[in-house]
Amino acid sequence: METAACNAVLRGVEKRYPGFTLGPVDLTVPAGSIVGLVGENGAGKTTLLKLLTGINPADAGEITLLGGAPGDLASRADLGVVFEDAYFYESMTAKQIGKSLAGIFGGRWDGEAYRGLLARFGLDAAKTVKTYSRGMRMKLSLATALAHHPHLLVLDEATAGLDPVVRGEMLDLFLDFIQDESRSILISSHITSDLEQVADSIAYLHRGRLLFQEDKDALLAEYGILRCRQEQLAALPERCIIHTRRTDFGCETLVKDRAQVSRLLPGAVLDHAGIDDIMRFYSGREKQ
Amino acid sequence: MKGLLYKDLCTLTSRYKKNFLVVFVLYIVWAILFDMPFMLYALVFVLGMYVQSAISFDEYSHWDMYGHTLPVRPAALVGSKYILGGGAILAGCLLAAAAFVLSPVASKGDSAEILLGILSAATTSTFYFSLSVPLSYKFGCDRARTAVLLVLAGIFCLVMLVFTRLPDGALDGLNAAADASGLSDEVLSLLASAALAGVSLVLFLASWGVSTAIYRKKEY
Repeated sequence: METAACNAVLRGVEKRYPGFTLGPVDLTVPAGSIVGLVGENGAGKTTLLKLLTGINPADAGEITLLGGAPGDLASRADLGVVFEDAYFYESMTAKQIGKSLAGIFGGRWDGEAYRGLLARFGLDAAKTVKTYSRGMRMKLSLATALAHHPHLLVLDEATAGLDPVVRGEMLDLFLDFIQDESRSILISSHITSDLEQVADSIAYLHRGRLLFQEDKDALLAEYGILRCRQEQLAALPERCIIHTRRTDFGCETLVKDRAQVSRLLPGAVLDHAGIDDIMRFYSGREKQ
Repeated sequence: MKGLLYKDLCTLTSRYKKNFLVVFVLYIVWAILFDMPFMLYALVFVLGMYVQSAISFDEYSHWDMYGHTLPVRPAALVGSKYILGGGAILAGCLLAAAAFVLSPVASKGDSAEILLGILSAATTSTFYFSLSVPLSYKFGCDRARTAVLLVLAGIFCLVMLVFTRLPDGALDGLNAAADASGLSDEVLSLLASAALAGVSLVLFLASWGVSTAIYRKKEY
């Protein structure tokens, strides 16, 4: 992936904590795309996003954020961030928050866009944050992250705990956002069905290591769940078998290159694999 | 910077407006009814303390972490607290002075004495602010309270140690110099207070630098 066409590039990025090491991670967020970051709890997703957004420094590697370093003010001015926890004190109103951020972002802040987003989300600007539900707080966070027209939106579990209707609204907004092809989104989520709807590529982080970053459509087309007998697996080349679970009734295997597997085992049951399935099997392989 | 100041002002006023009005009235009534004018000096300290709460609000709402993603330099993010703190202490001085002028306790002391009291209160408040803010950034607001108490206890012990170890007559030279200056005790006290206020200002600026360095390196 050409670095020039990417809004974020991580190369060999590492972060070491006692008992946990992230990386080295290579990840790209191409312009005009949504990258879904998946992984189990504690896999390092939030750690990675904190490094990218300049909250914490990396111990090794190189991070390019919107053409600069994560600490550059110009990069930060072009970045929108939503973390799982709201970050405005609960006694503030949405109107006060907008005024405060207008002072911070200066000319980049679009007050009209902010008010428009609040109206679109049905948020009363005169009410304090503490009167908002969790979904409303996330919408407020999203409005604050969008009102300065950033080129990169970084979202950490932004749809977690929201009902399907609100999640749907947010996903629609994400798709609207990347209509401008110079923009992109990096979103971490446990709700893989959301990512299957909107993401262009999926990056899977497992125990601090990035196991893959692949085009979502190719990923879903390429992987499959094969149900067959143990001895049938011998007919497949090793590179096609990601991980096998043995049960009393046979084998369940995550396979790559579905077309070839179908050719080699025409009688076997071969289903599509979702992101959840892929994660589960990769995780099983790593444990093994 | 103005966005940061506005945020803290909104947070503090929404949280402490009623509380401050109660404290303000209570201290004035207390000062008048019980003939305790020093309660008015406490207003200076109280206002400074309110501003320190802004740091705990940031911590509570994770704004301190979010601040690292905003197009603002760490010196400005931390600096807004110092500007607000300095402003609050100054406002406390003006408020205390106004309370003295307008209340009957003003008759209990002359203007030099009141000025000395306010200056001392501002110095103490500035010193406390300068000490507690970096510790709050370093350890978090909850643990910082204990750290501040420990540091203050350490400073007190050190001062006591120095004074108890001084040889007899060690301060005679200082007394002689004060006598030789021909200045009244009142003026000398004011000068000493002004010097201490100057020192507290230097500490205030140094504290700003230290807090900025701590905030810049802080990980979340």
